[in-house]
Amino acid sequence: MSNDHNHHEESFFRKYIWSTDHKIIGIQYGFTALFFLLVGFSLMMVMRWQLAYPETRIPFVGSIFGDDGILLPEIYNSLGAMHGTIMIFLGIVPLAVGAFGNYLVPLQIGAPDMAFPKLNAASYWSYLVGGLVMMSSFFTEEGAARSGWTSYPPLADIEVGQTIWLIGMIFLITSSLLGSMNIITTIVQLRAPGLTWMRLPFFVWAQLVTSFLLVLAFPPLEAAAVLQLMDRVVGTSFFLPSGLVVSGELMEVSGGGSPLLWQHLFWFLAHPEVYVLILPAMGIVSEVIANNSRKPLWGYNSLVFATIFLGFMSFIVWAHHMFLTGMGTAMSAFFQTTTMIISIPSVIILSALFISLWGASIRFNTPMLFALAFLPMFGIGGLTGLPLGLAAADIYLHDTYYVIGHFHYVVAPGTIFGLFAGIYYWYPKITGRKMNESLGKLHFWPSLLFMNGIFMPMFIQGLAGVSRRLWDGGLEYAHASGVFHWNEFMSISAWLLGLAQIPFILNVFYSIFRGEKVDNNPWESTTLEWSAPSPPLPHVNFETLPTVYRDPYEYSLPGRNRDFTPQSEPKKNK
Amino acid sequence: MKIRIIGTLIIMVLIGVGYAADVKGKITFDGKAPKMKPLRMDADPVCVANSDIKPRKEWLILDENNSIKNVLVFVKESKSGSLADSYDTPKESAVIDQKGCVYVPHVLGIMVGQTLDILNSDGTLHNIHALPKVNKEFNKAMPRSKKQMSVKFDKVEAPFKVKCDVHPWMGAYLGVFDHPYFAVTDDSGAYTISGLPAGKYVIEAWHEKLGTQTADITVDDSGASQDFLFKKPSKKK
Amino acid sequence: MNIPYTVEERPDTGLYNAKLGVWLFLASEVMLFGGLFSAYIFLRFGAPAGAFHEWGQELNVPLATFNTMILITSSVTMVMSWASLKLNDFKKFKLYMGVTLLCALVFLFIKYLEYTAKFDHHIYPSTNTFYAIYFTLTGLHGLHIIGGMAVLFYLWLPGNKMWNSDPEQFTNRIEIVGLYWHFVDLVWIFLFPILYLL
Repeated sequence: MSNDHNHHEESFFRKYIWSTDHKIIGIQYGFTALFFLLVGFSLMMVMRWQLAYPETRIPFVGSIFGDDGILLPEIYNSLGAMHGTIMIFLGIVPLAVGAFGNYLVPLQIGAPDMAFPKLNAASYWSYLVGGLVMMSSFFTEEGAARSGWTSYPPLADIEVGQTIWLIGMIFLITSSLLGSMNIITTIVQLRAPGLTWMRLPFFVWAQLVTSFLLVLAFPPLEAAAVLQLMDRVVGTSFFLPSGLVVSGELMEVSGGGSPLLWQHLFWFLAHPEVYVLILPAMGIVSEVIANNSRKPLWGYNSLVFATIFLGFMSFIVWAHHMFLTGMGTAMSAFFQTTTMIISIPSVIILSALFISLWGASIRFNTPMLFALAFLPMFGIGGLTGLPLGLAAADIYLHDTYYVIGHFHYVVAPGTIFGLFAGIYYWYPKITGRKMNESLGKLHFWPSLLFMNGIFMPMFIQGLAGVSRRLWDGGLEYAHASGVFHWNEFMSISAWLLGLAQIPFILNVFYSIFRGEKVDNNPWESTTLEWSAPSPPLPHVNFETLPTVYRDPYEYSLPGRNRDFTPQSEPKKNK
Repeated sequence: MKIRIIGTLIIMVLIGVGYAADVKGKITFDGKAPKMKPLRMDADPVCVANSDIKPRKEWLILDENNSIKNVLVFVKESKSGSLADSYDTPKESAVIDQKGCVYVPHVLGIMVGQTLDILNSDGTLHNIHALPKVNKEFNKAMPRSKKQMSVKFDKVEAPFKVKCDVHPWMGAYLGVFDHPYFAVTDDSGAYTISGLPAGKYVIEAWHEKLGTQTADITVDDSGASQDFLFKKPSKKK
Repeated sequence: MNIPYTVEERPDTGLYNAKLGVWLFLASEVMLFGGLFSAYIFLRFGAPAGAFHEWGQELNVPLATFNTMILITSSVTMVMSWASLKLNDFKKFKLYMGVTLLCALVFLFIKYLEYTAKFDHHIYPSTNTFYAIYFTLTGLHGLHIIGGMAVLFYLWLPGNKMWNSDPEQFTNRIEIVGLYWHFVDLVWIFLFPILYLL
């Protein structure tokens, strides 16, 4: 079999740019997504200046925003909408599913590549085009979209800049659909011999459920995007009611549509999207925790079934984002009940991961630190979500900074910490070298501190009733005056968080050349990817395709001569 | 032959210049002046603080003789072809200020391509939302730190509304012309369109609530005079 | 190294890769059209009682009925072309595939006639919500037909060399594009009653 891979040498271009190798595509996804994360974060660092010191000249970059260097409200709105869009659709999903899913799923299931390598490349290029289309909107006359990442009509039907956003979204949706179909097919079809469903590493399960969510939830948003595009370009009124008055003037539209239709279609995607953001991170964290606690994951079966249940439930909770739309108490009662039910599997997953730590001799290396920090941070994010899921409490808290604090705890110190854990953990597999531990800790501790510095005060502001998306951070509102001073604290935390990422960026590039050289399995892990060479062989991954004989996390089992037993190690014949 | 043509041309120009004259008039309101309510600006304390006079609603401003302020009078068409094909865009900009949370002036004419300076003398957030049908709509925020911005209009357009979405009572009207022959009535309801070449014209008087009226006038070297009388708006709408 | 199960079926799942892939793709398509159908229902309930029926009277039912027949025929010939390959009859395959493509062309031509007739009567997507959803649904369906035709055409002429080099995979390809074609047909079978008849 191995004589197959002494194929002709590929050109540089074919090998690294137009590659169909899932590892190269994964790395392309990874770097592009990290770049977009940085862009999205930079937008927010600019916005935080305006929130901390309203209407003063922005240092360093002020001249971009005009002669007086002040962030005007319409630009603030653009930056806010694009921050959300970039972070979710161009940053985290491509990093979690595109990069990690692409690179690791075939390795963890012992496959030579994804099931459809060309489709995989198409998915990446569609993502890149979508990203470039999105970014290009900043340079058009009208500017970038301003209607928030949720793009609620009628505002989004009327406001400038939205058309390019919609076109960009259609590319991104296409990319996600192609990618997720590929991941599902790969997991179902290409599992190595002996790798039964309940022997899959939990990360693979997380990717499988995530991909199903993407396949089934994204198309309704695509439908909604098509309808909004029709509204904007052809003049239909899918989302515009009759008699719509904007800015005191009666709109000349055919009317008859409903803004609620958009909200239903949008949240039918965007609630599962939340689990798309969190599940891959949970998968990564599970792998890292199992490895560094040197114990089997506690309750593997319940983790798997909780994840599947979570996937199902996530399709019937969407309208808890719409309690304020006046859709009626019966609907609210239904959706708040399903929302309470969906918190159960999340709690099961989190509890299982916590219990896995019980009595373990934990190795506190950088990936493990990030994974450990994920647990309480995601816990805070999850628990603060419960009041939002209850219709009565949501009426007060809706669209306040409390909501911002809640979902940022889930996504920023939650998902992003999980992704960082994954980068530190699998870096040796990708490069053959470890990332520097000192720089890693210099990255972790300030990040943890400043993440909380940014998002914890948001709960305080939100409970005081400060609305989100305010250009001046609430300066003009009497009820915000008592908590306005937190803005400066949060902004300084945000800028310091930006500084704290410098060790990470340095570490990624430094370690490619100077990192400590390690063997194929530096973390003494059990799963299949560690039985491949580091980096895995182009197009084939493994020298010989592995066969699986055991469960994924056989750590510290009594009576073995090592504290881990790889999945590919045959059982001894008795 | 050549000299004669040039000579004729010179004479024609001289006559033209000599005959350019002013159109004057006064615009009055027919009937009992409606009782105007004062503007309530307490939604924004800055507005109250900035307003030195007690502000009142602006849709009809009369003096003691029932003369109407803020009527835009302009040459609608030339019946004798004495308007030029194009006129130079004025170098100086037209100015509209946001002061005491009202627009000053309330009605303004501007030429195509002329710069309109929008000032914010209030220490509060305004947004200037122009609602033209022909020109490009714009909606720009002017926070207190943004003291001035400039815009231009590139198409002729009948008066359209300009408003502030922060302070819903704020409104102004802007007409865009391709010639300089327009004027707005002052406190005493008087207007002067100056420098109009001799000829026959249709002029129009436009008021935001009372509608429009047109009149045929003939301008000779002594100018012309045309008054308008507006009636109370009918109850419909 | 080749990727396993591109042609042969995986024993425990009973599928080859592309077949699972196309089913997943069709699942996402179901959700796409499902989203639009729910928009249709939402708008229909939002419109004044009976208005959707009223607005729909302008549509040409006989032409659409004929078009439905055409599409069903094309689905049948699609199956026949795949079956011909299974029976090793490449000539029949080309014939049936050609008929399928022809049916698709006729469908699009009739759709074009319908559209222009609407535009002649000054009926546009912006006329009312019924025509908004009508043009969106049939337009998107038309795009699916065009996309399908591109693939069918490729397999019919330029791509049919694969029959000589790898007949099994070629047959699989026809099966997969056939699944897609049936789906597009099925979408029309839903579109026809809700737009023309209800």
